[in-house]
Amino acid sequence: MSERPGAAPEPAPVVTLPGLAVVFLKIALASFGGGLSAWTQRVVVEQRRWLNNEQFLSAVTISRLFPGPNQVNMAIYIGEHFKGLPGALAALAGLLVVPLCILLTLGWAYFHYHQVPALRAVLSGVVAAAAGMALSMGFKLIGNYLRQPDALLFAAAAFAGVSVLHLSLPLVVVVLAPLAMAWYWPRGKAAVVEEGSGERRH
Amino acid sequence: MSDGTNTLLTVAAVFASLSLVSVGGGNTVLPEIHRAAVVGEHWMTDQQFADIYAISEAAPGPSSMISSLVGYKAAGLPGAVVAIVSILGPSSLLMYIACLTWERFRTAKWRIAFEKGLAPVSLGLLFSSGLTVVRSSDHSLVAYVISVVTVVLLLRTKISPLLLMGAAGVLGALGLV
Repeated sequence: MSERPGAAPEPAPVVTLPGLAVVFLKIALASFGGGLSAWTQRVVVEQRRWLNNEQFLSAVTISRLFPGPNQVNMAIYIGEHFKGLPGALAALAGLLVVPLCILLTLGWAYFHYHQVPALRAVLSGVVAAAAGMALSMGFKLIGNYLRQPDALLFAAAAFAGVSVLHLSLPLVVVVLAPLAMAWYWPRGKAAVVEEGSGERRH
Repeated sequence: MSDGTNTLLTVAAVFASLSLVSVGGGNTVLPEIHRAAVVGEHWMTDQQFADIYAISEAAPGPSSMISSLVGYKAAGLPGAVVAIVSILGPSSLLMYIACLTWERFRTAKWRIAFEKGLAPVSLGLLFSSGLTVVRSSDHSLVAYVISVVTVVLLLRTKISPLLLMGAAGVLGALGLV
């Protein structure tokens, strides 16, 4: 646990290595039946306030753009962001070790006894709730953008591309990302001050 | 499964080769894992694969952890470890390197544009993911009601999602979903 007081230029939340491991363990354990992203948003943004909503969405995007499970990439991104390589490893360990032990125990029991008693029935209910949780995440975040028609347009285009036109996600991102980047390209200092995200200083 | 070391090497090769192509989340390579485990290497039957998928979805943790169960069936505990390290290792290393580069461009205009611009795009994609889960879950009326009630309760109250999932699981166990 190496603290680096005053290393961050903006008022950064206090994040420690054990804190990272515990948070990602909590996210992993809470997420049975799915909904890992929603849990990450709940714990990292709402409870710990390590990231704000915009930073969270940015982290989600980067995690999805790179190969690998989104949550694993997210753990690496957040761990690295606050504590470098040890942080990434601590977050990964928190996310993976205990769930792996649980899963292998279940797998051993399954291959040993050759059946999954009532699992499917329970799962059908849990998955329905998990689906609701996955949707709730979008509804929570959309509040930030209600007064920004341009942002809503980009969101709608992405949604329509994947869910209505059934285009592949990489294709949708490859087309929309450059358009959105061009639209939001910083033009002078006025635009930065107006947004008030508090991160830019000249 | 005559030679344990050979099997471990095969497990490593199968999963390491999938790591860097698993774009869009771990589940996109699921068909490839199925092909290797059931058709190619005969590590398990179709039914067993479907069952361990259900188990790995229900259990906590990222989706690609199903790899560890495939590795476990193929080569025991060492197989499980080799499988999970192989599927996560290369992609994690790439992500880490990307993070390092990312920090260096903290004040670059393109990074600010990237973060500002990609956030709304990602928001739309989040709705798509939610819809995908809704579509893949059971298409019963009760299941839809559970999904909608969950959305409303999560937005309007401070209730723990765990409680909602537990309650939904009980409904499922009673055969109501």
